[in-house]
Amino acid sequence: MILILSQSALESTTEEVMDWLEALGGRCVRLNGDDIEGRAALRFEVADGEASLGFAAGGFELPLAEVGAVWFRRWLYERRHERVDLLEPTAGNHTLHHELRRHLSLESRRLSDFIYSRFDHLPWLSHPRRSSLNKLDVLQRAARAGLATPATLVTTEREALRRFCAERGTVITKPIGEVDAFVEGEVSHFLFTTALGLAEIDSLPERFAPSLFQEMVDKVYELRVFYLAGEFHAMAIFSQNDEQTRVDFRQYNRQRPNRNVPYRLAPELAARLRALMDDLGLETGSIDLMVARDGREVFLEINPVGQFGMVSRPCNYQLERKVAELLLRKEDDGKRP
Amino acid sequence: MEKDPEGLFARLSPEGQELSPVIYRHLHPRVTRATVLRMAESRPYRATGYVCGSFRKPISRCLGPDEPR
Amino acid sequence: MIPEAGGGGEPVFALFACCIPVKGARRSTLCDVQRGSFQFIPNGLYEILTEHAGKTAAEIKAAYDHEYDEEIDEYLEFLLRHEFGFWCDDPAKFPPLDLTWEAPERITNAILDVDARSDHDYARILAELDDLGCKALEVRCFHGCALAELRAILEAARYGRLRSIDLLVGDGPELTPEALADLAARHGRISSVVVHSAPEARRLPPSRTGVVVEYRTERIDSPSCCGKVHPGYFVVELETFAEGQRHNTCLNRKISVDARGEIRNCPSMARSFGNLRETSLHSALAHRDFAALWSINKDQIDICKDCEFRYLCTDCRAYLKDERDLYSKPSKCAYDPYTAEWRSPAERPAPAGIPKGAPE
Repeated sequence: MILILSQSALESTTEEVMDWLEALGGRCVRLNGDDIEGRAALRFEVADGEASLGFAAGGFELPLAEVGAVWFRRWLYERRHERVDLLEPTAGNHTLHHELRRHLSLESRRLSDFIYSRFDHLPWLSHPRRSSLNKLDVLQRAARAGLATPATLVTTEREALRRFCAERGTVITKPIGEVDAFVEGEVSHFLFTTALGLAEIDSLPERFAPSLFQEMVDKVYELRVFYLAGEFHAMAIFSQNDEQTRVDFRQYNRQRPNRNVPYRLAPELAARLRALMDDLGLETGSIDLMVARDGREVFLEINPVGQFGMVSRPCNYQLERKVAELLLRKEDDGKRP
Repeated sequence: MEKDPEGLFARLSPEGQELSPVIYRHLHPRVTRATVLRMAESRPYRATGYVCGSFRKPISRCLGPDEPR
Repeated sequence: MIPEAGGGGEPVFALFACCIPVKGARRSTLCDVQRGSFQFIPNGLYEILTEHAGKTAAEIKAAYDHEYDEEIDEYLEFLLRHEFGFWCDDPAKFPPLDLTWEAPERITNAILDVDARSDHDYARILAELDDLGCKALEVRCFHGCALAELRAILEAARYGRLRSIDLLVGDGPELTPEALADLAARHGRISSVVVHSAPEARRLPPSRTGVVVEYRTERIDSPSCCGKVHPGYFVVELETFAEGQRHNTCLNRKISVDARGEIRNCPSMARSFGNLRETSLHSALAHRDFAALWSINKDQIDICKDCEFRYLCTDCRAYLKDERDLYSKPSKCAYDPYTAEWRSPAERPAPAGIPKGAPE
């Protein structure tokens, strides 16, 4: 029995993997992050030297004792308490609200960690312990593994940025962590990668909050590579021709989508990427690279619990099936003495 | 470039601006898509937001070409 | 546009893998399975793209003794302008698409026919379809349909595994635009609603969720209306293109229950594999002949095998040009690939609503 940790909405990839698990003769049970917020009945009991964890949903108890392997797909994108007003309008100021929220987040995290720990003795795909990669750390390791990386600067000083720009040419800025968006009703403010001109740099204060800058790679196309248990499944994204997607391909042009085609990695590049994944202890992940005009393959970042549907679908890689097969193999391997 | 004069950064307090990384000055506001996803509940999948969509090809073809399906 | 020379010599012209040429007797198509459209290309260009793939512009021209230099330049300019291809320094890194088709569901799609005399146990039918993994259902009501009937079907599907329900229903007084819009809003699985036998044709603007409700004057009063072949039903899409390489694009992984409860490959097929009263969908599917027709693809069918539309067009094995020959083309197809003509003006497709690149 494969335990899938997911969320209960917008997870068509999860559902496709579940279809494959069933078609391949496996069984799966799904626990969603929203279950710990009341969507399912939770019970953990310790008494008389015995401990038991149970979730009951839709009138039946999830057979957690039969689980042989775990797939961490997602858990909670956003906790319910982060989306609502916790206080009555007249009941307190926003600092108090923030205090309540902070604690509820902590409680939720502690509970989630505890639930994961119940299955620690089993094989996992993408254990959350491994899913918080540090972008800067990964860049260092990538360079050590022999991969080309863009010159990167994190600084608080405008002068340092000016020098960097003088040395490296066009500079882009992006978050130190993940791309995100601030939702404001019908509008979302996205943190897409942005190129900075000299005028923008000059208009900055002398000192600012720590920000990440990189040399802009003069790319011909980009690569999104899904790594799974030693194998690479690569896709090339031709985002250069479209002004909208030129700097950040996530600014999807839905009228005329970028060309997304299968790609075969050169053996040397594959070897270096494999070394990096091993160094990070990752069995799976989505790797982003850019291929520059001079032919260099420049490593950008890894997302360890990434979407692979966007690679699987256009390239017909059947990754949903491969993930299902891997999960069943892991379960079998876990059973062997 | 894309710095939006009415952008979110301009609405931050002085302290907010001081604490924001440079990228906050270049946020990209996007209206959430006009077409809303069709979702349903699916108990076999324990999903409350089971994404629905047209099947990729016509299942039957009874209609003539005057008003194509 | 001067190509940039990369690591070695001149770059070669490469099609994007999602742009697939398909040869027909008189002309070919270039099928863009990513963007969902196709273009007609002359067979000469088909030859260049296949026999001379991986060559530089100069090499291609030389292969034709420089007799077609101007045409070749025009072809390349056309292909680049539509983003069908690009100048490639390293063709080894850009493999073609693997067109293997696989699906975990034993049944991917189903038809359920209903008429005034039908007596279906919807809960049971939908439960059995769920067991088979069915993702999409089309319900065809040949009679003037009561809203309550539609609601009963939709309620039976409410918590299941279906991702799409298409309704084709006979006009009735309750089927007002408001009632149907409301039905679609309450049931996210509904992809489309077509009301047939209506006094006048009408297409409502799509709902917020993209659902189209349409009224047509055609009478759809039996399965014999089915099997129509025309460009309005062409699909340019990777999954169906792949499926069409080895499978019958209509019958593959399809099951149906007709208005009397007979279980067939489709309601228009003669052979029944049992009636729901005594037989389950599962046992009908298990019958060794149930899937016999699933692997008859267009490449095995006379005339269709030479047609440039063969991977875009959904086949029909029920209504055949020659009833005695299982491998004859669909009787309702009016296209002749040997002349590249449609049989009559009445059967020529109307200009509106045709996918980009369809014939005039």
